Amino acid sequence: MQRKINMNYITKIEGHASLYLDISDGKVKECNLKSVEGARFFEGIVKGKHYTEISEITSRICGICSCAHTITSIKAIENAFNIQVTEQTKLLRELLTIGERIRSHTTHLYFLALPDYWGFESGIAMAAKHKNEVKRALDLMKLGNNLIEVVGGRVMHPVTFEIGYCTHIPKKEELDELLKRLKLLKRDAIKTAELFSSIEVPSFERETEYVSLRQLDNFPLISGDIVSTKGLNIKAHDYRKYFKEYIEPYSTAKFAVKDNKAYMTGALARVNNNQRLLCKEAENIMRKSRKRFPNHNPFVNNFAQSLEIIHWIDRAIEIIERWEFRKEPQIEVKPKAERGIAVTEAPRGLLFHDYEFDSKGMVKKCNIITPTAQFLKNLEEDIRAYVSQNLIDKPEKELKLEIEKLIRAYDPCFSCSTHFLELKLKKD
Amino acid sequence: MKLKVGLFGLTGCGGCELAVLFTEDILLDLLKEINLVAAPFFKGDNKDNYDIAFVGGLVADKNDIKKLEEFRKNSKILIALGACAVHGNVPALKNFMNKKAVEKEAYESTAHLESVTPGPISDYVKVDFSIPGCPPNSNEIVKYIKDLLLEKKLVANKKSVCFECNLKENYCLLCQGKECMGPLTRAGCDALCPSFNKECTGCRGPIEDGNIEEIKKIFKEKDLDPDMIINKLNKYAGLEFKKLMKNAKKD
Repeated sequence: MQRKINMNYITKIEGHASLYLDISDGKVKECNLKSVEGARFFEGIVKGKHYTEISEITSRICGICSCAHTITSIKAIENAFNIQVTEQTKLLRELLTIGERIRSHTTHLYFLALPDYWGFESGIAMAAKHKNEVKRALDLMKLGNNLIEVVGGRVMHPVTFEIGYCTHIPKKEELDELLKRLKLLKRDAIKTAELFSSIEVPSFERETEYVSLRQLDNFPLISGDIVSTKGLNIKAHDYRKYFKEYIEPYSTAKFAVKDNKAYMTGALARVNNNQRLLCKEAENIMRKSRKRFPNHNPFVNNFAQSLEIIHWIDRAIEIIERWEFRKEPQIEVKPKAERGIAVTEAPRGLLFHDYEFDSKGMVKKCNIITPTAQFLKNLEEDIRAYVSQNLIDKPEKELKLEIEKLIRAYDPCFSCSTHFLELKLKKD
Repeated sequence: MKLKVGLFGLTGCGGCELAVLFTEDILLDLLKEINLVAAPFFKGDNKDNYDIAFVGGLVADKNDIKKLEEFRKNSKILIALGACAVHGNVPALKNFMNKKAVEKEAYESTAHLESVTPGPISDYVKVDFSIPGCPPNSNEIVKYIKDLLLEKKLVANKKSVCFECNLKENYCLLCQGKECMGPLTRAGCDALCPSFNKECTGCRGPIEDGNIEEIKKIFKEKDLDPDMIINKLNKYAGLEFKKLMKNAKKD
């Protein structure tokens, strides 16, 4: 028997995409996950632009992770012009990114992923029966957004981060208020992780290469070397030797591979590579859960995200308590005809920004590799394996729901990789 | 009968849809007053019959046109939400560059793409009202939803960012020699960027009666590059700006 499954309009993901599956003789013959987002050509648009405009433009790649694009582009430019920034600037960038991590993970966990497990069409629809959980989600999202606003000026496309410095230093009273909220809502983050620990995920495992950053002293965020569960350990500027992007004719999103093979990046990869660096509370919940790391079940990515929320609230508290923020002088920037590369951990995984400048600081060449482009191939391979192992004889409705669950577990962002998953199903 | 509302995104960053979700504290109350019948970003069950459609994102390919025409057909009032839908935003910068070269930088081969000239949704369908900004301000969105509930006429903000900046008693960035677009940009953001010591970048698009020549003069006096104004205005609302320049010449 042959089944051709066309999934159009996959909802509750960032961006627009569709999936085509061809199942014959009990096997998945073809599996194409396709972005149906219009291409926006960011790499072409920044060409010829002045270095001062780059982070403002690239931040527009994505609404949910605009802070990640802002900081990564700034770091790449600083690497090109050999600019060192102060400890305070580094901490402010960290706080901004933490705010975004809390906001992005919470939005995804409660509004995109959880409704599948609880049998609701949306997070909003859960409110009637699960008001506490929805309220918790909104409180945590607001916490993340407040942190971004206090540090970055605006919840999306932050405005205060420039090459070498910050235009604005948060006020003490705002930070004190944030500190109170962070301490109070840590409880909610713990409840979130307990909830996602208790949710029964499908029993499915497929080992792949888990790639993330690693820092010696902290769980990775905006700096570190690139490592993997298969022994990779490289500096950001060597990325091109290992990672390649290519185009599939069926999609506007690009696909990336390492050594020509699919790999996984994101929360699960980060926890698989850095579990010892999680804060105590997150580590306790990880231990109490029956989940072992490194973990090869992609559905566990959601639990990994929830662990990260606790960790980053803990770290934000530490930064705000420890540091006295004060006004610092603006750093003078001298453009150079050089190339600058930076890699950070965006909410969904590794994010590469790579620029070549002329002596006036105009962009000659730009390459950006987003997390979704990196894990798309791995997601396709997981869908193939999951359908073959667990779903081959399942009725259409169940099969589609399970595939959607898997896609949402990855938290793909088709805005970034190009933006809405569409699900079509056709049977011969 | 509650007002039936749809919230959609064409090609874009999804930020405009998030700006609605990020009303946080009042989201659940808001959803008691309106019936959000479609919002594919965070709803699985989406209807195709609504009174009001909020559309974020720009038209970048054929698929966008098809979707947009459906949103128009299914709605009584269609509102462009955010800089992409209203002005074309950053992706429409392509219109001011060598298009083929731009495409080639991003994709080695473009044969698989169905790209069209990137632009605002008003290029393709009738738009009843526009909420600009990148991102649009959540408070402003809520204000307009309240107006719709009260059946009030939606009125666009025609003042410049300078007006709001003055009210906040900020120290003028243009006077300090920074390339601030406040005098030419539509208000409604509460002069957000200048309040964080960052020059206005013009994300809400140009006011209709902005005096570009005068601002160019100020730029020259301050030793700034007057051409930078054009660059900055092109970034978010190049097409709109071009229209205004053309009309100004006619006058």
